[in-house]
Amino acid sequence: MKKKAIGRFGLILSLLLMSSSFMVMGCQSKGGGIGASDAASQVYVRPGTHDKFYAFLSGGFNGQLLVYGLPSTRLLKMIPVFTVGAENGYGHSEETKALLNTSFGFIPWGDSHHPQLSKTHGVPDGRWVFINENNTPRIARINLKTFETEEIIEIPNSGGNHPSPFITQDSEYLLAGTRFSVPIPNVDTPYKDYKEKFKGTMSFIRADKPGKMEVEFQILLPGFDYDIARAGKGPSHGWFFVSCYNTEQSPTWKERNASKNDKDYIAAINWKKAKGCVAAGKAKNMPATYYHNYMDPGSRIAKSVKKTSVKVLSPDDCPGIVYYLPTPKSPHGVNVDPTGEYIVGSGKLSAAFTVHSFSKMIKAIENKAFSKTVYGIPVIKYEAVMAGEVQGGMKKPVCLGPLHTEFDGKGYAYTSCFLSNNVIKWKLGEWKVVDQIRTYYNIGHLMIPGGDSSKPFGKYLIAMNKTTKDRFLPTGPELAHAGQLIDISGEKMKLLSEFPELGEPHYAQALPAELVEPNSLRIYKLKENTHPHAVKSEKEALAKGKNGVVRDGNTVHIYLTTIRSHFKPDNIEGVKMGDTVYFHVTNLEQDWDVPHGFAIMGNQNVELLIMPGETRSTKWIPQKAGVYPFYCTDFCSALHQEMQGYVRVSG
Amino acid sequence: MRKTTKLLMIVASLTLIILYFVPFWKISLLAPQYPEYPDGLQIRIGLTSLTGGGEHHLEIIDLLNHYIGMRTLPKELPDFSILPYYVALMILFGLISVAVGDLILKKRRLEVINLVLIEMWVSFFAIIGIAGIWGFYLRGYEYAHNLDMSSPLAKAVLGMNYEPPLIGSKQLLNITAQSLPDIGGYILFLSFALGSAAFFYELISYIKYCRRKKEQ
Repeated sequence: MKKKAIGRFGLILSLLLMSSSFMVMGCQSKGGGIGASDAASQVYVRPGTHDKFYAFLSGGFNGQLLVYGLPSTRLLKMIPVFTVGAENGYGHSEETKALLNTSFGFIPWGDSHHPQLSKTHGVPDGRWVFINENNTPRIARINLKTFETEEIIEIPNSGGNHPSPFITQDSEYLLAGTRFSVPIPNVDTPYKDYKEKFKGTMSFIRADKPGKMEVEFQILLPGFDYDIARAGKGPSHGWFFVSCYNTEQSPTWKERNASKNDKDYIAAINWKKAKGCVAAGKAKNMPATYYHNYMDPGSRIAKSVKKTSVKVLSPDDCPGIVYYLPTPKSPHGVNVDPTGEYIVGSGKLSAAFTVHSFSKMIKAIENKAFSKTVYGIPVIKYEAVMAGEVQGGMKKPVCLGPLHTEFDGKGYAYTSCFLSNNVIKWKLGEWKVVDQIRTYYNIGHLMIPGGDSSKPFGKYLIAMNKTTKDRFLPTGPELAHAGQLIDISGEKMKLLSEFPELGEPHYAQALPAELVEPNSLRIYKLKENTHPHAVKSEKEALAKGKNGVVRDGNTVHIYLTTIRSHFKPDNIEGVKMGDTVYFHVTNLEQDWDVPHGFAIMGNQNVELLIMPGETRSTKWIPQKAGVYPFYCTDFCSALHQEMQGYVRVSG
Repeated sequence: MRKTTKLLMIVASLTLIILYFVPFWKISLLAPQYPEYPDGLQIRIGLTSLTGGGEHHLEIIDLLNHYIGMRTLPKELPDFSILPYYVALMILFGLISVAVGDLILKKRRLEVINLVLIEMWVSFFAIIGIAGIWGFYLRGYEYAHNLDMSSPLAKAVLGMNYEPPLIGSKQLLNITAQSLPDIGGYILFLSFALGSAAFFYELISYIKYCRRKKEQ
C-alpha cells in the first residue's frame, strides 16, 4: 500500500518536474491575499518615514547584494560585491579593483547566493553581512556602517561555493563547503576516477576579525555534492549541519544519476572537536593558492595578499568529527530551529521531509547506533536520529519539492515548496501542517527577519520566487524575479505585497532597522584620509608637480579636488600621447550626501563616484591628441553643469 | 556694603567666568535640504572664536554662501583679541567694587561711593553691551555686503539683503536665519540683572539710610 502510494507519487512528481507547473494551483484564484486596502495599509510607509527592517537579498547571477526596506519593499541600494559596479567604479577604480583578484586573476563577475548577518549570542547584531560567491569560491564581508564590500577571501580546494557562508552563533566561523567535488589537489583527472580522486571540503573561515578573514582549516570529505549548511546553536553550538546529495558519486547526468538513492545525508560536523585536532597538529599543511583582499579603512585602498598553503584535516586523523544523518531524498535546505534541537532536512524529491533531533543524535553517537560507515564516517541509524516527518505529501495541504525552512520563534516553522508553489506553516514537535499560502511561482528560498537565528524577529516572510510569468507588466523574455511579502504575525499567513527583484535573490537576511540605522556613516573624514594620493585642499592639489600634474616617465598622475561646484585644477596641460594617466580625485566635501563624480571623454574605463572625504583614482590612456572634457557626473548643486574641465593631450 | 549687595555683585562678576567656556550668541540657518540638522547649521560666537554647532557646520555654511559671494567665515577677528579683556575687566571691577566697599569704606556716610562704584559697573556693562551689539551689526553688515562680485550669484542678488538679523528670525531666500543668544548670552543677561539688582538694592538702602539720618 505504502509502496504503491510512493510509486504513484513518483509519477506525479516527475510530471510536475517536467512542467515545473501550475497543476496544483490550477483552480486557485490568482489574486491571493487579504482585502487590498487592509494589505496596503500594512505595507504603506509614509513618505519621509523609514521602514522597520533592513532586508538584504542576494543578487544571484548579478553577483551583488540588494538592500530593501520592509515592509515597503522599497529598493534602497544595490551593493556591488562580486561583480564590477559601473555606477561607482567598484572593481574598476584603482582602489577597489584588488578586491576582485583571485588565483585565476581579476574576475569581473560572480554569482552571489546567501547573505549572512554577523551574530552575537545567536542574534543578528548589525555589524556586517557576509555573502558567498558560488562560481569562483569566495566570501565577501560588507560593512554595515558603509554598506560597502570591504573584504573578500577566496576558498581553496573548493569547486562551487554553495553551502556558504553559514555563520556560528557568535560569528567565530563561517562555513564554506564545496558544491561540486573536485580532485584535490585539482590536477588533470579522468572522470572515471571520480570516486577515488574527487573530494569535498568544508572550510572554516575566521569571521569575527574585520580585515583578517582567514581559512583557518579545512575538513576533507567524500566526493559528494554539498548543498546548504547551518551552524548549530544553543545546545548544538559547536556543530555544523550540511546537506549532501549525489551520494551516488556520479560525475555525469546528475539530474538522473544523483537522484537514485532513497536517502542521502546531512553531515553533522563537530567543528569544535576539529578545531582541537587542528590545534593538536593533526591537520596537514597543503600547498594551495588563494587570495585574501581587504580594504584599508584609512586609505580605502584594497590590497591583495596571495596565500600559499592551507591546513587540511582528514576525518581519518580525527575520528568523531563527522557523522552522517540519513535524510530522504537529495536534501536541499538544512535548517536548525531557534532552540538548536531540531535539524530540518528538506528532501527536495521526497514526499515527506525529515526533522532530526540533536539530542537523539548525541545519544545515538554515544550508543554507537550506526547502520554502516561510508569512507570511514559513521552513518547513524535513521530511526535513532529522526524526530519526526512533516507530511506534506498527497494529503492537503500539499508541500511538494520542499526546499528551505525558516522559523518565527513562536514554535512554528515555514517551509518553501518549489513544486506546489506554496509555503506551509507547521508546528515544531507536532510536525503538523497548520496553514499554507500560495506563492507565485516556484518559490526557492524564503526569509523571516532573524528567521535562522536563536531569536527570530518574526512579523514578515519574504517568498523569493524563481519564475514570474504574468505577475508584472511584461518586459520581453527576461522578467524580474518576483518577491512576495507575507504577514506571519497572525494565525493565518496573509499575502501583503509583491515586488520585482534584481538578479535572482537566492537567500536573504533581515533585521530591525535600529540595529543598523544609527551606525550608518554619512561622510568619510577628510582629515583621516590616508590615501597616498589624497590632497586635502585645492592649494595642495595645485602644488603637486606642475599645477597638479606630476610626470613619472610615461606615467602621469593628475591630482584633482572636487568641491561645489568645481574641479581644481580644471585646465590640465602636460599630458602627451603614449602616456598612462591616473586621475586621483579627492572630494573635499564634508557634507552629507554630496558625492561628486568624474568622467572623461573616450575613457575605456568607467566613471568614479567619490564620497565626501574620499580619494578615488582611475586610469586613462588617451587615444589621440586633442582636448578632452571631463565633468562631474553626480548632480551636486545648482551649478553642477558648470562643474567641468579639460585635459589637453599633446602629440 | 550690605551683605546682599556684596553677594549679588560677587555672583554677577564671577558668573562671567563661564563666558570663557561657552559661546554667547548663535546664528542658526535652517534650510529644507538639511533635515539632518533640525536646529539648523549653526555659527556660535564666543569670546575668542567662531565655532560651528557641530563638526563641519562652518565649512558647510561657507560652501552654501560662496555662491552669493560671501567671504568665508573668519577664523580670526580683532574682536576676539579684545573681548576676553573686556570681560576680565568687568569681573575684576565687580570684585574690586566689593572689596573697596567691604574693606575700606566701612563708614556709613561714605556709602555713596559704593553706590557710585556699582552704578559705574552697571553702566560700563551697558556701554560694552551696546558697543558689542553695534560691532555685531557691523560684522553682519560687512559679511552680507562685502561680496566677492566674481561669484556666481553676487550680481543676481545685488540689492537683496543677506544680512543675518541682529536678533530674531529672518527669511533669506530658501534659508531661515535665526539670531539668538547662546548659553553665554543668558549668562550675560543674568550677570547684568544681578548687578542692576545690586545697584537698586544699594540705592534703596541708601535712600532709607538718608531718611533715617534726616529724622534723627
